[in-house]
Amino acid sequence: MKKLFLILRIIIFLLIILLIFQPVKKVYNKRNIPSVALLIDNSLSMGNVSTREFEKVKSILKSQFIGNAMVSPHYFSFSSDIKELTEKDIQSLKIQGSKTDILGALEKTKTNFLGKNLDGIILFSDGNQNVEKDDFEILNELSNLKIPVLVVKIEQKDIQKNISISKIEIPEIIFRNTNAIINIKIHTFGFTNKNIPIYLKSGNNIIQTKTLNIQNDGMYELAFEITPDKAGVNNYSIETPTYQGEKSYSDNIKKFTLEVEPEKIRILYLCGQPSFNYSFLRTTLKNDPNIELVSFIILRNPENIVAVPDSELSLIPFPVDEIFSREIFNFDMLIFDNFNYSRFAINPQYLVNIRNFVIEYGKAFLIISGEIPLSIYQNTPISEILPVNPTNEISQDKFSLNILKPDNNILKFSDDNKENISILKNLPELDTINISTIKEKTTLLAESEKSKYPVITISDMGKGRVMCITTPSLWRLALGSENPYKYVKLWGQSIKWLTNSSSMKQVAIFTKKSYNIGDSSLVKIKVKDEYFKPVNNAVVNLIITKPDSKKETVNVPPEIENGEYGTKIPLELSGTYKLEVYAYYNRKYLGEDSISLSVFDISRESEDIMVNEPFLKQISDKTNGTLYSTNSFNYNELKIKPRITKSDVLYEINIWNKTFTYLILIILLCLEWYLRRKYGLL
Amino acid sequence: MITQIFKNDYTDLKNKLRRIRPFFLVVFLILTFNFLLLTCLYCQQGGKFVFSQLKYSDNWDTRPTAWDRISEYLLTTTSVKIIPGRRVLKLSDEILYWSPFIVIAGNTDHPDFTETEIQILKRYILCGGLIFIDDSSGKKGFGFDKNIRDVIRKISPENPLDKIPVSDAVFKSFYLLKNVPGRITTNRYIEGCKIGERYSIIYSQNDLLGAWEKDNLGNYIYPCSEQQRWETKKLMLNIILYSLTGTYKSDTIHKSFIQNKLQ
Repeated sequence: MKKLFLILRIIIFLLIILLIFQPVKKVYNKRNIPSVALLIDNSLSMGNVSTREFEKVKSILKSQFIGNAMVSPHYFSFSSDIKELTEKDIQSLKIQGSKTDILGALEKTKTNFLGKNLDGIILFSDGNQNVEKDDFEILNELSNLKIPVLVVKIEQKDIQKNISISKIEIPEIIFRNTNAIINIKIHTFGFTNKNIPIYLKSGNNIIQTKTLNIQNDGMYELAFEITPDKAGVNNYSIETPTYQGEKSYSDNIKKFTLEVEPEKIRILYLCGQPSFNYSFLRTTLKNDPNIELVSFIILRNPENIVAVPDSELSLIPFPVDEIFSREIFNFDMLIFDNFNYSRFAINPQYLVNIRNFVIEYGKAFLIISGEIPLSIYQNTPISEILPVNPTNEISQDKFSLNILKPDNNILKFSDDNKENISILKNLPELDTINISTIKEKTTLLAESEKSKYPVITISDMGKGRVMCITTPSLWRLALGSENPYKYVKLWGQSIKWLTNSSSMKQVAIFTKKSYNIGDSSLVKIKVKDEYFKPVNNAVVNLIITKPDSKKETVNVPPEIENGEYGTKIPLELSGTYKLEVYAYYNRKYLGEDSISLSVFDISRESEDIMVNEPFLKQISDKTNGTLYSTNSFNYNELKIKPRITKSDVLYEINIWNKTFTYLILIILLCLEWYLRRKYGLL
Repeated sequence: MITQIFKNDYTDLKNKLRRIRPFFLVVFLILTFNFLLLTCLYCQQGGKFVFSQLKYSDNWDTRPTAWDRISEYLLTTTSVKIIPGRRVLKLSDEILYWSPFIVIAGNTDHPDFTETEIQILKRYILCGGLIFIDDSSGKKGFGFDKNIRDVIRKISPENPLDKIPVSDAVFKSFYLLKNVPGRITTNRYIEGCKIGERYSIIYSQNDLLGAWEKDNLGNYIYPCSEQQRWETKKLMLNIILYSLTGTYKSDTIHKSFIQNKLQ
């Protein structure tokens, strides 16, 4: 009897243990044939080599997949988007897509097959990915999922030898005197075992040369590192020599433009004599982190007598020739503060250079008079860029400023209009004024209150901008006020207007300005406070006005702890997109900026006529696949095996889901209790 | 009858006018003098250098003729344009804000500035003014030195007085100076309070103004060696140039030139 009780208890114990661990028996679905996604690139570029190649792809599908019992195929065609096909659709499939997004097609295939069986992807393409993608993560994901991508490139047999600069990739934001990498893609055919020089040119000048060592036909990548030293629009080109017998010579050169932002505004300040005007303006400019100041003051004139040897003086020679012939063009802004050019042996051409500096080079010129009259520039090229008609008269009376354009940004000391007008009315008095009259197309911002002589005038001159201050006593705005804020603000805003500079803006938006339809614009926004310190927790609202006039507002999140914010805008329509950004910090308005983007609808499919084999190889290599050509591909020789995955469970055997198991356990427990009671063992 | 009354009134009026004529004359002369003085003080300033001196107590004018000599020298030696007359002002004067360079000279105790005056001086240096203080007492830690240091501490609590290194732009704004001269050598240094990159207060205890003082016969009043006087004059001129050019001589473009000259 004891043995019976022991057996019963062991059975009950085992049942309880099993109840706790709940073992499951899984029965897997047995698959004998692999499930394969066939991606067929039907973009227009598939016909670049020959339409016969696309027909060849179709015949491969027909002969090797349709009706093949060794594979379970899922057909998809793709260009900018992916579309599932039936076997019947394949025969009528045509090349028609205006864009190619291979990576997007792979991404969508992965998504479509989530939770389903997929043992491999076979991609038929020319590798001409022309929808901009900077994220290749999908290839790693496919590799992790153990889904190889077998790539079948179209053949490029009958092509003539050629060198083609296929693509130039430039950074979206470039600052002056900062390194920028220019990535070049060059396709070569028929130049095996040759060294070809590649030139980076600015105009006709070769800036850098690199040698391309061609081992095989195909795509090569090169990078040039440049440091632009001029802000603004800089034109460059990548060129290779042309060789006899090339299919095309026009693709041996590709031009590109860099819009270089000044990292600091470079100002050249020439002052005729030491003065409080110089001292105040210099201190203001020096304190601005956005400005790089180089200044020269004439401390001694030829008539001054110094009874010490030159070695005991800190004076340096004024490098007239160097400044006015070469150096001037490295600056964004030139200041003449009561500077009498006629006291120096200035070549007349130098005055022409100053005029050209403004009119042709689009730079800024600020001229201050009051001690030296502007009339000294009469009948010189400089008079052409003066916003006033000067006289040699200097009035030495005190005067108040009469502000004529209180709405002008240069004179905006407060965002509140009423407050601004009140500030402008209470500006401290000034004195000494060089009498002048304004020229046509000049904006007179401020005049002397009673005498009505122009004091602050601005004007656009050719490509550049000019400002004229006819008094040397503007420093009174600092010393005559409760704080120097108005003086500093006036100059900050003046320089911002003169140089039209984004680095002087508290809120500045940066992005590439021309795109093709379907691209995304990577927008970066820099936000600074009134002291030009980066603001990290600002509310940054971006208003996007699309070509169809529809508006969309996006709250742009911060990117890094440097006052930088960023977002991506899909550009789905061709035309002009207008982006306006407004930034606030603790409900305080920090500033705004705007930019326009041009989106073109250009056929990118004919841009590159070559098969991009390196790109296709990259896809196959990264996903543990193989690269084939339409001639070498034979599915029947491939050994794609169906994989059994967790999702392949046909059914599970789980006895604890059944009432029967619990009944047995209860019956056994009851039986043991009953027997013990019967035999008096309780 | 009527004619007689009129005649009497006329004679009275004439007598009255005769009596008050000197008064009108004095008033006229005072007004004219004031007008001319104000014209001289206020007008023609523009960016010109004006030597302003603070009148703070009975003993504010320890070196009354120094500016006359300095101005002559400044005009012949440099391209600086100046207002010839010395501008004497009080802290309550509005003209303070037309005077970006003020001198405080002294050699004895001086009354403490009131809280309002301290605030005025604070605002003055914040808005770009430069104060040059010249102590001619030759005493450290007493009298003028002690009082003025207390005042400076109140004016510039965040940027206290510090020794100005001889490598600073103050010592090379016009002349290249390798050490700190003075009519008397109380300190081998001058001190300053720096706001931003520029000194807004410069304090010397070496009687820099005293080196310029001459009597009516053209003799120097305060003795020192000729070399010492010459070097002191150079430093005073440098301080004035510094007030007009700031840290100009510290700019990179000057560095190699100055380095070569100093070698």
